[in-house]
Amino acid sequence: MEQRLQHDLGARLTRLESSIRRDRTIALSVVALIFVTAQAPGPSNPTSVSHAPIVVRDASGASATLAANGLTVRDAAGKARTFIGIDSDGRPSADLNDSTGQLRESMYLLNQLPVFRQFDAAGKRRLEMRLDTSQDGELLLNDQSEKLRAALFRTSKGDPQLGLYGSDEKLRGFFSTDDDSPYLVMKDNAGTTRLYAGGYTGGSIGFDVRDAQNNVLWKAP
Amino acid sequence: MNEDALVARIARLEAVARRDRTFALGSLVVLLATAQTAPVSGPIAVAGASGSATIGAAGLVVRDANKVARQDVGLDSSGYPSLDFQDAAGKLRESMYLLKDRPVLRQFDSNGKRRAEAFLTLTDNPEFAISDAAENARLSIFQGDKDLPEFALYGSDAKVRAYISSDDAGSFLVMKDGNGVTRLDMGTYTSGAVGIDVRNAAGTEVYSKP
Repeated sequence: MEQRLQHDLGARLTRLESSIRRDRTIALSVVALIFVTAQAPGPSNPTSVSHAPIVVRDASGASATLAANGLTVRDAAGKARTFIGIDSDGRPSADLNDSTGQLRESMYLLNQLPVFRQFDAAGKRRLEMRLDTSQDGELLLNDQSEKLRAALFRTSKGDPQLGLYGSDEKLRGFFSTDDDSPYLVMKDNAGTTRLYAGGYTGGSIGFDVRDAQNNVLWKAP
Repeated sequence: MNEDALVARIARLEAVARRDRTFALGSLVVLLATAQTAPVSGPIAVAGASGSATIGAAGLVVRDANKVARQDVGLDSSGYPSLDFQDAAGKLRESMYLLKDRPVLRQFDSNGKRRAEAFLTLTDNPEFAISDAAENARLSIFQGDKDLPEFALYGSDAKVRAYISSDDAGSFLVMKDGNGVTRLDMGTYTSGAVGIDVRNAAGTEVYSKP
């Protein structure tokens, strides 16, 4: 009888020891998991430095991530929609992406020159405002093939100019002025001036119509 | 091992087992209560004498010393990606954003009227426009419905008074009166000829060259 009791107690002991080991393993694993996955950052003071990105997320799943290169805001689908900071090429940049994640609008410094660009859904550059290499401002409108069709800019002589271009990106008409007088020039697809109105190089003002060989057909006054 | 020793050992082990199990279950409850694939976290703010900057899930808001939001970047209240600048009164004055995925840059006057903007139209064609205090367009440069580039000037009624455009054959300038009648036309005509004509208020040609 006593031997049987001892045997039962021994079996009970073995089960208990096994159960304790199992429970302890579970408890330690859970604690480890909490520490590994926990990422709620506490408020930081201005002088604190975090070496890991700081993520703020709301219940919809939208999030803002502050990393060393800037701030990225993602929508609830996880698509990066807004970025402000230093881009992958080391340029200061503000970028807006559409719901598919495609870049549609960007303001940045390209080779130290300010640029603002708008892109269509196919990723083509359609509108651009920038300073050119002479530091002059210009506005450029492109078609869906990214060919220049209209521009406001300063010429190499510094004159302001409106230019209109064909689908071949060649100039068809422009309106400009120098310090003497403005002038309007219309060209055909061969690049020949067919109509001129405004101030001539000699100082006179008038207009003329020319044929395809650039011969004056009519001139006034 | 005698019976008393065994009983004592079992009692100790049972106590340890109960404690460990309670700890394990408690930890599990904590894990389930807090662990999510996308943990929610509150905004982070940095404040100083000059104002504050707050990062929330929708982006960054910078406020001045009067607590007026002056700059926002992120997703706006409509869910559009945007970069906004507000004046000291908190009124939106400049905004770069995607309106239903279409890029827009707008500048507003102190009355909140849109005065200058660069954008892509519904057909993704580019346009730059300047509007007056009544928000009527007065000047624009754009690529039109036929994909032709055009520079246009408008009256205070927002109706076009003059435009210069071009197709692949050449360019043309059209001037209209207040009734929308073309009064002067110069450049390359549809026929391919080049010239100039002046018309009366009824649109009848009164002068033509060459």
